[in-house]
Amino acid sequence: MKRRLVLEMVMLFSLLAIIDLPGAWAVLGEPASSVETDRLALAGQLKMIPAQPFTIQEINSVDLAVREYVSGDTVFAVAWRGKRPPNLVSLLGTYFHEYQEASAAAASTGPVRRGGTRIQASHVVVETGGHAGDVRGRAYIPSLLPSGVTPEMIQ
Amino acid sequence: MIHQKCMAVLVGMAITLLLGCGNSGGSSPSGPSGPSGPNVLTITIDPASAAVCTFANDPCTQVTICQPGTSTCQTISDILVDTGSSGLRIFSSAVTLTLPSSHIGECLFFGSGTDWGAVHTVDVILGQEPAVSVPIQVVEPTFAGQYTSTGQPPSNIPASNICGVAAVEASPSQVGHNGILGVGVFPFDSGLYYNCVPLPCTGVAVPHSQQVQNPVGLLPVDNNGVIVALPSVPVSGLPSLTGSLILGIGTASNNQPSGVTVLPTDSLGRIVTHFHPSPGTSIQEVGIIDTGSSLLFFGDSLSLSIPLCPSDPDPLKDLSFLYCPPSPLHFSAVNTVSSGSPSSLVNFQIIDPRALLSAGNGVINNLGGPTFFAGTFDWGLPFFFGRKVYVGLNGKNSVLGPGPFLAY
Repeated sequence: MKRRLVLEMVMLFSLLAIIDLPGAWAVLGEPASSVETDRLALAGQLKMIPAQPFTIQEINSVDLAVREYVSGDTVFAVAWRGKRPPNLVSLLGTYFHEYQEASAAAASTGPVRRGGTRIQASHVVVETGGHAGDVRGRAYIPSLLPSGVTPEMIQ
Repeated sequence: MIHQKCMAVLVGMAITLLLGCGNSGGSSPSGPSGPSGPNVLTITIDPASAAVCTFANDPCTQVTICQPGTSTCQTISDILVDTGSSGLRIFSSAVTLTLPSSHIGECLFFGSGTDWGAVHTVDVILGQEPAVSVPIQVVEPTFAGQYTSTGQPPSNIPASNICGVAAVEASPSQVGHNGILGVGVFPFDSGLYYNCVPLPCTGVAVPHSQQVQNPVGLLPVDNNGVIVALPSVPVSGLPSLTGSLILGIGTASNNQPSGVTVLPTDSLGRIVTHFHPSPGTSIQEVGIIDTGSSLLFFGDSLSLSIPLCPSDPDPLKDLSFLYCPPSPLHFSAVNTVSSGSPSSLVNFQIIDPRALLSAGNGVINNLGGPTFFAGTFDWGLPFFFGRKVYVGLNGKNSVLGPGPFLAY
């Protein structure tokens, strides 16, 4: 309940504060019913793409496409592509904090600069890539991946 | 280790800034053997000697910024030349010039990070071109109190995280440059803009004239694109390399193209690349040609059967995002457009770079690594070695036709 309340506060703040940034997202690891919230927040078109052994719910808006991967009733992965990423604070929910800590630990790189980032936190993996104006990413919970599903299939 | 590196960087920056203060002129026009003229910026890759551009295969230059309408200027070095983005961004810690205050902040998202900071309209001098008045981003995590100086959200309250990411870029030493000169095919960037006075920052639509944009498009004559000209690099690599960023295409005696293949890009600056992982096999992918990528990002380790370099728990030593084949591998690809014509065959090689890196080579040809996202071929800096690559700006015309295009 507390998490849901925080999420609603995030939505409220985001909708108040940001004109065109999506306000809320289906939270990774939560029920698929939250996808409808996302469609409304994005004012986007929702498309169901049946696949095996999961369903992809794709939301398209002006400058961002988000695919939510659902198995059973749980969102086990999310992928995005567009001018900007979705708001990862909302997207990752309670996983955001561990993602942030793992990102801080991996902030220094060398002697060659990477083209993207791969952050492996305790329970969640987040990968980003692309270039300015066409950024891509995926976030998934390895322990929730259905058998036979590889991270490369999430995109 | 990190601390020592930061100290060295800070000392280097201090020297750079001292040298740059009050300099109202432009940058020196050229390298020893390259083209010269007011429309030429020198590109240097010299990680061992550079103050801030300390990563291999990072092409850097210098730019001059001035208080609007004045000759009070500062020349800033270690600016990454990036054909994959648009507009000039400079870390606030590298700016000693006093700029008028700004209410407008921007989040700009790259594949590998996010820049947050204020948008200021300043006069920018590229090479010895006339100054142009253009909005730039002054990258500063603490602008409007949005992030800490290390780029972290200030608290665990999610709503306070304005860019919605885990961290924003914190400092020149962290990212290996004082700033980025985005000279891609599109004049405007793709960031999110905010009005931050009064707080909290609120999303705002700003007119094009106030958006961060490629300063090249505002030049009086040499404004239809750029040429990145880098010498060839042997398979054994080089400690350093000097080349040129030439402004304008067919606008002066030193930027006349000849014998190039022109590839118009799509609305996201992309071309079509048919990658041949083995003879007789072809995979159609999305191609980008990007000086801001340090290597060729393509394919994946498993399907190409190329081992990755071993991982290291120390992120400063970890090379596990690079291919490390036991012997050099040869590949080819065809760059083209959706109609299939024109097209251009590119042969390339991938090697194990570890010995070259540890021998102190800052310029490495044949450097490759997997892409996280199948179907994308990112022609990073090794593609540019031994080529002149023409980047035609959207909305402008040239002897090679209208932008947006890439040509070589």
